[in-house]
Amino acid sequence: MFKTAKNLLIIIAVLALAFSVVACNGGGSDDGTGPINLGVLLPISGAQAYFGNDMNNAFILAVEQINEAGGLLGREVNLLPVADDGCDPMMAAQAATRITSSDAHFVVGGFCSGATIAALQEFYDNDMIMVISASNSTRITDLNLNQSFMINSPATHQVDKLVDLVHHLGVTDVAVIHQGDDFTQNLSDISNVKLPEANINIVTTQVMEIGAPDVSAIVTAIRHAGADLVFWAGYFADGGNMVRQLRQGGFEGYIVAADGSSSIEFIPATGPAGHGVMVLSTPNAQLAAGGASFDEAFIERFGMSSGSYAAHAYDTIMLLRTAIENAGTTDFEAVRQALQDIEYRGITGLISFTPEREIRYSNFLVLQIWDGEYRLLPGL
Amino acid sequence: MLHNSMTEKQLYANIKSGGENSLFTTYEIIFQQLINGLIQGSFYALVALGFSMVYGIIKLINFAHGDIYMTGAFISFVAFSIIASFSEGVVGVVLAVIASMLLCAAIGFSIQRIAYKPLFDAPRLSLLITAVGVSLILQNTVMVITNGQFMFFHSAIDNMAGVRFGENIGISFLEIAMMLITAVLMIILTLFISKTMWGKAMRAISTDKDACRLMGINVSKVIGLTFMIGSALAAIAGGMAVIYYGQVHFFMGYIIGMKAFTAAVIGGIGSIPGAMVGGLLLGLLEAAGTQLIGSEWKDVFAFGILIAMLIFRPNGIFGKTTIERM
Amino acid sequence: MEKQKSKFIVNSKKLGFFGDVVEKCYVLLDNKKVKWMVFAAILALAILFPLISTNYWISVMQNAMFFMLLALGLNIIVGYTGICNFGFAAHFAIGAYVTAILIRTFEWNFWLTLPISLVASIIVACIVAGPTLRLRSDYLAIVTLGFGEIVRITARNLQITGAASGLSGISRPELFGIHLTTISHWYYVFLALVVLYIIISNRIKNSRFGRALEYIREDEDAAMAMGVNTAKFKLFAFIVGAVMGGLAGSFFTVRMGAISPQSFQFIMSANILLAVVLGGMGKIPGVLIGAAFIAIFPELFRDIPFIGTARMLFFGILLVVVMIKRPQGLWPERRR
Repeated sequence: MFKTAKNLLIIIAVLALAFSVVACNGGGSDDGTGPINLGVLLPISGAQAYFGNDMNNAFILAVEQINEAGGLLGREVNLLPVADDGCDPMMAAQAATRITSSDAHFVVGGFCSGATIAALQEFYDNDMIMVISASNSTRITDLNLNQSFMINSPATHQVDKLVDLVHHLGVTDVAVIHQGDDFTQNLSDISNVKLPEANINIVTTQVMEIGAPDVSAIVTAIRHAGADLVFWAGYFADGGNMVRQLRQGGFEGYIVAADGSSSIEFIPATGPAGHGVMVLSTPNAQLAAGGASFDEAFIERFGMSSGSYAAHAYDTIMLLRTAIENAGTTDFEAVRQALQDIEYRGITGLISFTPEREIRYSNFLVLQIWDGEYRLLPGL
Repeated sequence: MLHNSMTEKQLYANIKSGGENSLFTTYEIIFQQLINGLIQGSFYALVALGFSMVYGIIKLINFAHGDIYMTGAFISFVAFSIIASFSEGVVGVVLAVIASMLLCAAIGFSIQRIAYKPLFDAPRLSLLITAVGVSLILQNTVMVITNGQFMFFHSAIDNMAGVRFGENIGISFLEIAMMLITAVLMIILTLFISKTMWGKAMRAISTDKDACRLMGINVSKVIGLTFMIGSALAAIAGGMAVIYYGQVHFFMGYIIGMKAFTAAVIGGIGSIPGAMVGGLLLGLLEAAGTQLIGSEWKDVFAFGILIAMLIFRPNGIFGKTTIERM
Repeated sequence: MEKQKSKFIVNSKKLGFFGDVVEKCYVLLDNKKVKWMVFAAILALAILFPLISTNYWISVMQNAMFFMLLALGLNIIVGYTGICNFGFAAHFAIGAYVTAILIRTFEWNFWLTLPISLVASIIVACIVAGPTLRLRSDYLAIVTLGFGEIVRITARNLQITGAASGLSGISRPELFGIHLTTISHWYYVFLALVVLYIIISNRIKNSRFGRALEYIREDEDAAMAMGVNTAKFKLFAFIVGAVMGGLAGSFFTVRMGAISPQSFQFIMSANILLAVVLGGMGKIPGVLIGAAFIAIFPELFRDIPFIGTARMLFFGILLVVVMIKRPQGLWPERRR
């Protein structure tokens, strides 16, 4: 017993010593020469891997274009290998330390909100600015970290668009379905606040677990509640299943899907049942005003068409470049201020930031699946 | 490919005014949710059967079983795509599912031979970990092949057509067919287990493997057959899932595997009728949970009832009281 | 049967290098002095590691140590006592959420939340284990699995737990006047915890309590017949394991600064169980190796093309091979 205690004391002493040695180590800083390194946080494994790879391709394209045009502040821009967050908070925290322990000066990416949230604190602690390409949960805003900028319209903008759409369609009873994860539940919660304010009833809120097959009971519950319109706040694959089952189960009202489903894949996922389904979406390359040339370049470089968030990813890099040029330096505070003051017109629309560092103007559109293709919904 | 019958007019003008007044009567709701629960329960039951059979015979909680279901779905999907080029109708679908059944039976047999057999005398938890390993192998093989993407499928079978009872209640022919197939398979399996020599051998082995070996039963062959039957059943469930849900993904076996495990235990793990009843019961419980307290609490409701039931009936519905060792 | 058994033993003897190494290690470690020296050497390496490594690998190691904590906790339940548990993530979730809620909502000091977290873990363990421990192990497996899901879904649905987004912005605590912010700080905190857990596990194993647990694991009926109060001891073991998991969860919360129900999925419980069984049930070095394996292996292959994306496939193959070659785990308990 005595011996154990003595050994324990020694262990504690040694631990404390080592602890005090590393207690004071600082991160690397930018000396103004060499390439400007961009860390990338994206899911390239797991269910969302497709989006991560697609967005990283857009990053690669943007960086190549910048370097061909002579670089940035006379320096080369260097895209670091993707730190895989796997769309999982624990993996994301690890990926974040991977970025902060590399030579990265700025961070781009961010797809799944839950993963992005878990990583942001680490970037904040290390004075690294992150321009978030796709994650748009208002929980990121709630964190109130002064170095993270969201260029995708947040959920509040999306729900505003939904309210417009519901009024336009002239219905009053809405059912909301989310998938029980951070992003979709956040959207559902905001809907549950904003829709009643606009005199729209939410008759029921349901959850379809990600990948769960049993949907018919939910369909019956929704029909039982008497909804005229179903707002699907989830992702495209389960959305396909849900839309099919809603139609099979005899639901004849409108179906509106959120931007989690706004993927070209949503059309084959829904199949014939998808005809007429509406989708709230931020502009992808195929639909945006200046997207055609980007999409061409993307196809030429990677041999396939870009996905839903490639345009956002491209804008992320170009926005950051503009901010750094405006600041004239890569200094943290100067670039941060430049981003705060920026007015940049990208593929996805005009980007400028509110004091809370959300994108100021909503860029949501309403698409409709029609004869197996997306079309812009006339009148909105 | 498109549903031409669903015109703009239907989608835009056919909105029924709902709101405060529900369109359903209580009986209609109960009836429709009963149908929903039974359909979902059929899937659970088919997968649970394989689970239960394997457990009965080698006392292994076969974690990879959900992934056999996934593999079955994947093979069916590939077979559909190949066969669809010359035979679009029901025949093609049936052929594809049969192909998937055979392949999965072979896969199940090989898994048993390669991964499980060397461990029959090792601690049971080691066998379990091996099963987790096999599950990862199956999942990630399909992931690598499909590049992690979803694959979507639309069969020529019209899932909108069906029988309607009054205004609100409906069941499609496809759903009826699926339930019938499940029922027939279960009856065949029950007869097989209770009437044939093979079935007798299976029951005997589940009671005492060593005694069977002494009695001259080819234990290894019977265990192999059990895996083949279980895997084939899971493959049928997988094939049905492709037709019914229209999508395949490498991760789709995870949830159904967990649910089938639950169903097998509710019924009394190792018991064939138990697995059927357990599967159907779990499907019904989930439908009831969705209707009564909402889909976000559905699984809590189902698991809560399950745990309560196990406390009061510690061997499941059809389970036998046995003494066991880890 | 006899033939099979003997073949099996020959096989495991035949198999080579790793088996021999472990056997040699056993012989070597029988010596108390050698044992302490090895322990001290490994500890010294672990202490020096952050001075020579990048932050990324420090965080990987820290994550591995976190897995070790959970695995050591589960080891008390599964390894020492032989109770099946498929929902260990739930215990870890209880500790994590209690701490998170107390810090976020009630602005407690982190160190003060630990006793509450401990009490909550005990209460929850009693609620789960009390009525169910008499069940057969397969049923216990499903009860614990169900319990794990119930905890996760409840956390996801309630407002106080922050629903699906979980709780974020949890402030990091201070220790000896140092604000624990960098990854190295946490590395040392978790290293200290691992040492503490090892000592606890070791003391339990060599106590009267530990011997009773071993007896129960080997033959519960005989233990009961010999007058061991099996129900009481099993419940105690369950509680001790749950508390170890819960406290690990509390530290996890402040380390991450944010928690969400996603971290407590079934896959997490399965991974912890994997660590325990893979390493060798009931054996502390085995459990540590198992946990390190689970946490580090996927990281090692992350950047290699092709293998990077298929790394879980190789992980699966490796699991099967290891279990076939070493059915008792990498570092099994030696039968006395």
